[in-house]
Amino acid sequence: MTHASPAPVVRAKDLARFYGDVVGVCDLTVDIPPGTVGLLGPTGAGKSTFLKLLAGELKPSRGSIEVLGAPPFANPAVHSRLGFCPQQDALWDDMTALEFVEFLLRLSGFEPARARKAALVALERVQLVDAKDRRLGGFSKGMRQRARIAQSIAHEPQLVVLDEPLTGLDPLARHATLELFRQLAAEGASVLFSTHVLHEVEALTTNVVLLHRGRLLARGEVPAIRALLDRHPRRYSIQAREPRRLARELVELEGVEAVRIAEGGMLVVETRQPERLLEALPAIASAARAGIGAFESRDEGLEAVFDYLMGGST
Amino acid sequence: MNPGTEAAPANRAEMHGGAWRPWSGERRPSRLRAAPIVRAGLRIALRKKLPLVLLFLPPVVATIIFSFVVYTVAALAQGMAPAGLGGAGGAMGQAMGGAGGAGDIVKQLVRVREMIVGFHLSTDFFSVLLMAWFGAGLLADDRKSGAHLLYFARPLTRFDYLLGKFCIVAAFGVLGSILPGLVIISVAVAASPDWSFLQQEGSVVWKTLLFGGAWTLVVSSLVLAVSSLSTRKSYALAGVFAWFMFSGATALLLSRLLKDRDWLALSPVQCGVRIAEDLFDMRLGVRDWNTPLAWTAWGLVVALSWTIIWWRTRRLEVV
Repeated sequence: MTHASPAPVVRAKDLARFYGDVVGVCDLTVDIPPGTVGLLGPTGAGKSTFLKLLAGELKPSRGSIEVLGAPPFANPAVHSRLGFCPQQDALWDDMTALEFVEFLLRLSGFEPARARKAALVALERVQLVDAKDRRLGGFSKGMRQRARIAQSIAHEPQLVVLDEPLTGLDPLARHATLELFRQLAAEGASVLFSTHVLHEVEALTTNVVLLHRGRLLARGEVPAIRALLDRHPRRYSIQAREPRRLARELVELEGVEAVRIAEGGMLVVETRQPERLLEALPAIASAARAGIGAFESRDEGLEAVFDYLMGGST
Repeated sequence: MNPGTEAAPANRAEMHGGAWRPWSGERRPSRLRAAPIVRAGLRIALRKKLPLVLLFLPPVVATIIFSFVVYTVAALAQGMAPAGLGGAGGAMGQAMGGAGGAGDIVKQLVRVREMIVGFHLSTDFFSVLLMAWFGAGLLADDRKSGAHLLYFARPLTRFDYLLGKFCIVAAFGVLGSILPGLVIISVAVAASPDWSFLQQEGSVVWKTLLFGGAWTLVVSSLVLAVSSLSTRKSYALAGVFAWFMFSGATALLLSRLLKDRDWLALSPVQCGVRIAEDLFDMRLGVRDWNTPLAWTAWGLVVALSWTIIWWRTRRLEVV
């Protein structure tokens, strides 16, 4: 692991893409570092547009984007080093899985023998090698998704861009796919994937880019982003044997703004001085004989960060 | 507060920059980048047996029949009974005007040429069927499934993409339009005495290539243009046939109403007939109209088609 600042794999500056009057992304300035990065945002946030822009599928309406140091649009040099898994079905039903991956490798300039070999390796990585000779038309939704992922990694790209890659996968396949992404990252590839399911990102990385209505909402580590949200107090859940007694004591603590008892008797504390709370809690709990059973932060997770940034009423 | 701008410097995620592997693959910018598209497209098309049988059967049967007739005529020109006809050969020879002299041979060779032209015109319909069936879905299906996203994420230009698609349609045009003609010419050459067909009517070979090639170009372009405008293959298929029928009916109607045969240029099929007549130096008598206009009409169809295809392919980026 290094804390130096490596060159970003994606660099967007004032990037905008419009579909007539509809805004895809707008004034997006962001550097995405190597590694695994999650692209987050609700439906219509501009995630797919941004990914297509950086995959060279779309031409920016305004601004610029560089991927691996070069503009991606109509740039074969970038496409050779980039793997793209679109959200769309994008499969040819009459091809077998092996033919599908092999065909796209041939388009990438692989020789026939090498394309066959690389296609088999890719299918094995997504656990489709047993179905390699079956036609894609007969594949389930999850298998089709895995076939798409296979084609995006088969040519060992430096940057893998995946648009909603976990959609349609069953829990086992989802776990295996997340593991695959970890392996790719461990091998040195950068993985940028979009999702609107927050815990999928949390399972893989803390490094996120949040988009909303085509604009950048935040970028960085989830806790770091959370730290910026000073206007929101931190929330902690405390499971206690005597929650009311503990609540009475905590409400007097400096920085605590609110204490309430949620469903199930869980105590929810909101404070602007979390360090003070963490420091004082053991003593207070002991003095009040509250009997603390569990203590956890309620807003370190992406869900909370997302709600805060979106202006939710959490 | 703008969290986006302030959050950017905070970057303590796990990095892999140190192990960031350099590109180690082979980058071979091939000049034949469209070749895998053609290969894969033909492989998929040939996999469906029923359409293949149904669509290729008529031109194959027609080729066999015409080949036999051409062989018979050529054999009769030499005063021989064609093998397999037995005694019927003599009767057929008399019925076809007898044979034997050099003048008769030349006359029969001309008849062979006319047969070949007639064959061209009769198989055009089948070649349209072939090109429409196998080409209608090429762009429409890609658009529908979003498969173009896979193409354009590869080191492939839009020109390569379109060239590959065009070659797939054109391959069926060649199979339905040019190849049968060449087979019949080969039979005529082999059956004529001392390769006389090649000596006397040798230009038929390149004229066949030119006519078949131009016809293939026109129909392929048209099919791809309609496909690029459609959202699914069935619509494109219907669109192609509707266009042929509509243009043909309009051309005939206007030419008769306005008593001006130049209006026939509106129909690519009528243009084909006119061009074939002129190219093969034949006068069927009823369609004597402006040949350059027919060529121009074909050229316009191709130009318009490719304008549409290019425009729609550029629009493929918007999904």
